Amino acid sequence: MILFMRPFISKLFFISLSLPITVAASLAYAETCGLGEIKSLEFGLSEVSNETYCFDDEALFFVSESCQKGSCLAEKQATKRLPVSHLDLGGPAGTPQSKLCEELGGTMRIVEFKVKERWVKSDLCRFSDQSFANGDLLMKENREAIQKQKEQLIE
Amino acid sequence: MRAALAGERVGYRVYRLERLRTQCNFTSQQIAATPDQIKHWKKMSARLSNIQMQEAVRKARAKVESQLQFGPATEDAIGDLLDAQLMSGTSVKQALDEADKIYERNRQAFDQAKKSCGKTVSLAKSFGPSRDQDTVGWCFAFASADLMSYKLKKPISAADMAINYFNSRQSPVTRWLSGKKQSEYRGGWEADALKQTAERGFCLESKFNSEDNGNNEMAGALNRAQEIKNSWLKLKTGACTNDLRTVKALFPQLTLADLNHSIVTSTQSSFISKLATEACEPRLKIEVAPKPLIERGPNKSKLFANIDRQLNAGNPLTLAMYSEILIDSDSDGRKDQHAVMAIGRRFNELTGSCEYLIRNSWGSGAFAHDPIYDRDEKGHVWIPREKLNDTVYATVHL
Repeated sequence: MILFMRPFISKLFFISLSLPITVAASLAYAETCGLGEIKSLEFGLSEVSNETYCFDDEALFFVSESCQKGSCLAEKQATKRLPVSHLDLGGPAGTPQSKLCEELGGTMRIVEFKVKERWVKSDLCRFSDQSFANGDLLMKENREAIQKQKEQLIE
Repeated sequence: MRAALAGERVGYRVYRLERLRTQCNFTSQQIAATPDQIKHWKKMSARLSNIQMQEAVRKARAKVESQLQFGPATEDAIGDLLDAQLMSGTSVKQALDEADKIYERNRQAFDQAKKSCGKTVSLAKSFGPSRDQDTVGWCFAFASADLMSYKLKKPISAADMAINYFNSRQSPVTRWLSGKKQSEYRGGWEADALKQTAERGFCLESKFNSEDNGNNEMAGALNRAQEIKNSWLKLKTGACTNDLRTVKALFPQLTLADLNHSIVTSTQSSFISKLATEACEPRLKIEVAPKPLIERGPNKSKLFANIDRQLNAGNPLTLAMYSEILIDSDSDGRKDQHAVMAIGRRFNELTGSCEYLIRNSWGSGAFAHDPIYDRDEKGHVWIPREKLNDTVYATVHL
């Protein structure tokens, strides 16, 4: 079972993020899931779409709610392809997050997520089944996968 | 090999337990773990050849010495050295004596580093959240644009700076022959990007977006705009409103007349540049004299003296560096060239390191950076000088 869904695993909450319910997860920090807003620039104009997603207490990591059901492509690709060596994520052509997203077969874009009453700027790696995770979450999971691989090598 | 040493940290445990035993008059029997630990490192050492073990000692000692140049050696580095020594057959007493000497030097190194680091400086207040270069290789342009934005107190377009730079390096004919898309050009030198753009005048970010390019990443937005020019039909019929919507992802203030004018007056390879010309008028004309400094080799004293001098005077700088250590602080990779900014300096009392506040263009979340580095709410990261000393090779300031 992967990895990057872990911080968000618990129950599904079909709620509006304008009235979020925060629950204590078993992994020491809270989580919020539900119908929220994602803002991006569409042809030069700001456009807001409604999607269901989850985020952590500090609003650092975002993942589409569909991944909670355990069958989203974002999760499948991460399970199959992580870890990606850090050496493959450097270089001048783009950010490590965008390269990692590409390695996993997703498409990156810059967005803002509505978290309670504020907009949080982040990015979004979208997969063909419309599931997504933000770049920081993918980077975090990749680091954990690298660490796990190292530990296995030592053993 | 290194992973095994770093992971086990057996020698360090032996060191601590031995010290505990001698300082507190505990016997080995009272510290039950000790014999197990010793058995374990003996087992590890049996797997390695003598040459491998000697090499491990040499490398670990070199790492400690290198860290001591800038401040105290870390417990990890001292632990690695002890591991390597104990595995290579050095007596426990000899290894512990060396560790004691290192800890003594650490105290002096701490005081020295604190003194030489100087006062805390942070220019972070004058900057917004870290930019996100997403899929394009334009780090140099983001760093240069941030430098100009700081000077002019107006957000300057990094994308425009990148396009000016690439145009100055290749003629339209060469670009056409190369068949490269605008988004495929990557890498550049900040001093030249600043000079080239100053000649034309600077473009405001509000006229040419460098990030937030809509339903696609930057490279995609550029490619979609390019497709308008690639359609020969447009030359005859002119652009439609949908085409205008597409280019507005890059140039929010462009009009349909500007777009049509660009279509008929540009070649395929100069189309994006032509759009930038239309969109950025009137440009901000200001004389700038970027001052570059390049220094390679093990000791970057001139480079860091310059960084300190500029920061003390309230001037941020761009840094040309190898980016591997930003992602992984342990990496010794020196392949990926990158550009960032130095916008602050502080002495970290916990680690004994002088640290620089680095503004990167990897987004404001900053999780692309090794989490070992402290970060601020804007995505800036504090990188110890010893890490930068190995990887930074040039600076530019205004």
